[in-house]
Amino acid sequence: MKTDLQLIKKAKSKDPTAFAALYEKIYKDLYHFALYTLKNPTDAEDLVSETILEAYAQIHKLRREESFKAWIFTILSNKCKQRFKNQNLSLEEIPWDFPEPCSKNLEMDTIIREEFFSLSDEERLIISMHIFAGYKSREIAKILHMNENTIRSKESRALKKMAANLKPEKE
Amino acid sequence: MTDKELLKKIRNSADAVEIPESLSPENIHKTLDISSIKANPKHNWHIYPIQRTISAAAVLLFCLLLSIVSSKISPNTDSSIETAQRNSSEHEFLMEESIQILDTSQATAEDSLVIAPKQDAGTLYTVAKSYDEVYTYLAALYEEETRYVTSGAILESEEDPPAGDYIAVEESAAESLMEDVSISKSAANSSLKYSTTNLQTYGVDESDRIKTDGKYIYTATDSKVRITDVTNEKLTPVGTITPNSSATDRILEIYVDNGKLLLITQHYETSMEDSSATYSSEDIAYTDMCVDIGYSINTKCQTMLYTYDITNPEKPTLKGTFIQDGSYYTSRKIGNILYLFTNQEVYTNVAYKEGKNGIIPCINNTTIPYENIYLSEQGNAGLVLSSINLQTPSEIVDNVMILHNYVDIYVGPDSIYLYNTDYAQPNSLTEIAGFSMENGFFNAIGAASVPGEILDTFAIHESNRCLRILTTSYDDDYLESNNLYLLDENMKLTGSLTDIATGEIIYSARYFGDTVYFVTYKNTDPLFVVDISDPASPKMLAELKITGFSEYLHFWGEDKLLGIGYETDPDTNETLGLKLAMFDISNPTKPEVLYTTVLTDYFYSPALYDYKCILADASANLIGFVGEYENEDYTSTYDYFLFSWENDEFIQKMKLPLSDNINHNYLRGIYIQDTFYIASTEEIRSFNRKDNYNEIDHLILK
Repeated sequence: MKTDLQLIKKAKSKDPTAFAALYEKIYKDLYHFALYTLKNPTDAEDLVSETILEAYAQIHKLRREESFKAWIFTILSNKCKQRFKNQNLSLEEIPWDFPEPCSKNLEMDTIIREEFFSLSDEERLIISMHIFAGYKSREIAKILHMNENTIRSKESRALKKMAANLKPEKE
Repeated sequence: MTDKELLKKIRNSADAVEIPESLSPENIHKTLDISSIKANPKHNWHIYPIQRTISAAAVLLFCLLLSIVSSKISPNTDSSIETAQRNSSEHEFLMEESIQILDTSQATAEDSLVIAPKQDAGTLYTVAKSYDEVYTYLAALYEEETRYVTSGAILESEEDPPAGDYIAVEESAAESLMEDVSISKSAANSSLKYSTTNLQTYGVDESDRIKTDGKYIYTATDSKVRITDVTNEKLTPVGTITPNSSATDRILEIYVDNGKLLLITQHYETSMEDSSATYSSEDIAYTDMCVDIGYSINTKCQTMLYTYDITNPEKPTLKGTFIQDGSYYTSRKIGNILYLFTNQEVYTNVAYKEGKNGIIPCINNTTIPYENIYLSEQGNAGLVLSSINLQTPSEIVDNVMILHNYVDIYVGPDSIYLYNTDYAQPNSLTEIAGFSMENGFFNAIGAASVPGEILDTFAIHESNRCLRILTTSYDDDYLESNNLYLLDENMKLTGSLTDIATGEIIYSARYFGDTVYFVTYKNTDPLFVVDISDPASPKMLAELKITGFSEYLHFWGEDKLLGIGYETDPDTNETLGLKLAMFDISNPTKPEVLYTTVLTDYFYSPALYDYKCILADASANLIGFVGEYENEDYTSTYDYFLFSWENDEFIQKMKLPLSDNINHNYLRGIYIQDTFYIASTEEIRSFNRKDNYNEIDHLILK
């Protein structure tokens, strides 16, 4: 993604307007990332809020050569991972009810989403990092401390799993 | 449908999902209007049930941020320029001297039992001289974060803001680097021979969900600890421990040792009240930084340590209760001393607290003394560390609070090290501070910083009070290389080896005596062997290339090294399955691969990311872990694998299908004498080691 160096520079000196402008460019992806990774709208909302808060507090640490988007998604990815870990600890999962999407292709979207949500936490995280955060396998590997090829094969397996399940109903 | 098409469809399905109001940029501008919030306190705010109070706290903080972000007041440009200049000059300094010891005035380790005053950790963490200095520091920190807030009113919020949040930053890092080295000790007390939790450092005990003392297996769920008698070959439930606590409290982990069971729980207290009526503005310090939103949610997060006498496991008796503010981070036990680490953000408290009371966290309801508080340049997070002698489990031995910038923790046999990556420089640095902990008393040893990042839990290691660190650094083109740094007992650099394995990163490491073994990976898995006997000049002894890579290394007997990781195709780099490899390290200059076993299509094991999941015990000749296998219909099945090392080969002793209904992350393989157990928080199964591992008994824990 194209980085706006001027804005990042300003944001790094804790200019709130610049920060908000940077946020505006990516907030949809941020929320969709969290929602699709966590499967839970309330958690997604919370984690995005926390991420923004932390990013703003830490913006001075942003390395110049990094894009704002990549950096903030790293924070959010780590939070999602942590949330998975905490979920393992908790006795029951908090139930979620999903907001109805406003789309013409509502039915297909819902099926896709259901299939996507049936993937494992890790699979959802990897695919979300790819499609919403725009990371390449190499970058995902670095953030998750995994082998690049493991990331590729995990993603490919997950997609094949989804495609197989979609076939009888749809195509 | 191709992968690409499917990815597009997934993405498109998300586009249709609306973004919550609270996150929309429009709403940020709305929230700007502070008066509208005051007039309608419930505007845009959810009231959360108690379980969700942490999130609620985060949302409240978010509100504060929004008001910062959206403030119309122009920033104080002068001071921000000043800060920028200061940073850049520091930056140059660091560039010139890529390795620097942050200060020379280290404290000497205390040998006597006399409680010495706390010393500075170099210039990284400095001891506060008074509470006023702490308050001024916090207020300045807070002001820096919020200097654009205009209103003169107050934002009332929770006591320790995003409790899980700061843990998240730290733990996620620690957890993801495959946690590597531990020497599983076979408990030698009494004549019983049984396995114990796989540890990072020999002699430094760690908590877990499942423990044994050789006669009983203790399993901890969120709400209770179950005690199962495993003598007489039968699995007999004999008792439970349910801490006397509120419904939202959660058991985290336990220790079992020497007739005692230590139970660590997380305790939340939440209250919501109308704040505007409670305080007049004169009551509040630092009012000019705050925003009144009309009501407050107060969440107090505390970590509790309950100590039970379990000499009669049918009737455990509570011997002590210890309360420490903050959310649980980690703990260690060395001998009779427990070290408890919690996290509590403190700087935002400055704004929320009436006067100065309650800003500093408490331990056993006593405020941490200022002379035990360490300040640092960017310390947003408060790490509270206390020591408890288990002879008197309700009492504190010593404590410190360190205001830090998201550190990871390594506890060696003699010292505690806090380390964090400083990304402010173009090439990242690791800052490390050391604290001695003799007899439970803390004091700073010193601080240092070295180039690169610590990517593996086992990459940092203390031996004879000297620290060794393996880091991975990135050059301007993001090309990786790896480095080894050796520090002395005062944390001064004595020697280093840099630019190892360019283009690869460290996957696993293990230190053994005067030798360090570590694995990097790109297309093949070089195992590097470095002689560190001369602190001034570490020497590369050998580099052994094999396919795949090890995520975890474990010393096996006197002269072997076990690696657990993945096998990969060296041409396509495709992951083929989990792999066990045994290296002969009897000649450190010529390590050899003795044997490898690949579990084809087993593509995951929790063992790769949590060393506590691994059973690796050369004295009992057992290697056990869970493997996840993908079926043709893309569902997963889980098997427990148990191997032994016989005649230079891995021999599979067991491949036990596991139910989907148990938490495989908390499944532990345990042996006690001639019986092998697979224990989870849901069930325990026992097997006869002398009879082909035939199942003896099966107990569902209900």
